[in-house]
Amino acid sequence: MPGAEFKLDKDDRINLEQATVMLLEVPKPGTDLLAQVFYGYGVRQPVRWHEVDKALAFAQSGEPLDLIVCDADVDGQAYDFIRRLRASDAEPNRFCPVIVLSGHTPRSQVARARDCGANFVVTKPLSPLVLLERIFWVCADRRTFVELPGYAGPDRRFQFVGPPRGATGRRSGDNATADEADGPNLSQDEIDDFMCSPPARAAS
Amino acid sequence: MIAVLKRRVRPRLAKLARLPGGKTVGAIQAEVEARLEHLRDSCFAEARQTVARMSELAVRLPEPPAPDDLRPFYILCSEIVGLAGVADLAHAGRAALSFCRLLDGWMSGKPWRPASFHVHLTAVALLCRPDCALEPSARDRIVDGLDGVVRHHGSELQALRHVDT
Repeated sequence: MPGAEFKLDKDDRINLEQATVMLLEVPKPGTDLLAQVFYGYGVRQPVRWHEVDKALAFAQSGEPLDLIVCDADVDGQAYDFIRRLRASDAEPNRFCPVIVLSGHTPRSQVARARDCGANFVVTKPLSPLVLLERIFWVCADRRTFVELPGYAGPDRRFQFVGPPRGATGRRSGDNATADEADGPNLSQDEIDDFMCSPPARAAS
Repeated sequence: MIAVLKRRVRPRLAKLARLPGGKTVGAIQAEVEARLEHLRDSCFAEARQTVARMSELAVRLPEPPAPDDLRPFYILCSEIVGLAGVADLAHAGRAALSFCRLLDGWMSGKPWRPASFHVHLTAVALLCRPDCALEPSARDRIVDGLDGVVRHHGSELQALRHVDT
């Protein structure tokens, strides 16, 4: 499992002081968990939005973003936000790494995040260390950005998982089982395995 | 033939993260923990308010509910899952996650079971109470029971599919 292969050491060092991080979060007065986590990481002033349209307008305004962290429940349109950002002409922000935070993570939900162009999905309750590990992953992510009709985002073909849904496949070993709409919650390791292969260690 | 454009994009973050200075992971962990500790009480209060909002909504829930009637519960449960880690409400978070699974199933067309809805709502509310005196083992049993309800719904659907075919 990727999660078991890439773990941070306490002495690994990261500098996020100059990183511009956009947080797209559900408004909860007095409980700005995500912002506090990023202040703790050393980010000077995370850009925070609670509405998808405003976040998208900001992303298209020209200020380069280095990372977007997006709560899956925000405004009911988090995945739409990612899809619109990826399909827009807002360079360089359309290429910006996007991490989705989600509490309920059945396989269908993780596939949805992947298919709208998210780089990673991190489960809630949020573990600051797991999120930090995924930021290291983003730094080491070598996947190309692909654009084709209906999809723009990180290359999803990092492993062979059989033929597309509904297809029977041409190989004897192909397994055409469709995803259950509401299967069990995937663990963080299962999600990582589904979304992206682990990077080589990126920490200095 | 589908035209696929490929671009090799190296995130600027990778360069910035390696600049001299910064913090060690150990220092980051300590600082984040200290910051989240300050939020513990407000997160707990927010979780309680979220449960209260769910209880209010449940009173007005039509029978049977449409998917749009259940969506606010899904969102509120998901909020509790998010708050649970900081608010020391691990069991309530697990119960809320179990509730999310049920709600997701109902919103996707599974047969509505009001008793399962109410037992989840009651359990989440109980596990969020500040005066809840249950031992961790008792809380575990509650959450295991809720998971059992979710599993039962899954097997019930499998049985229905079997009958259909």
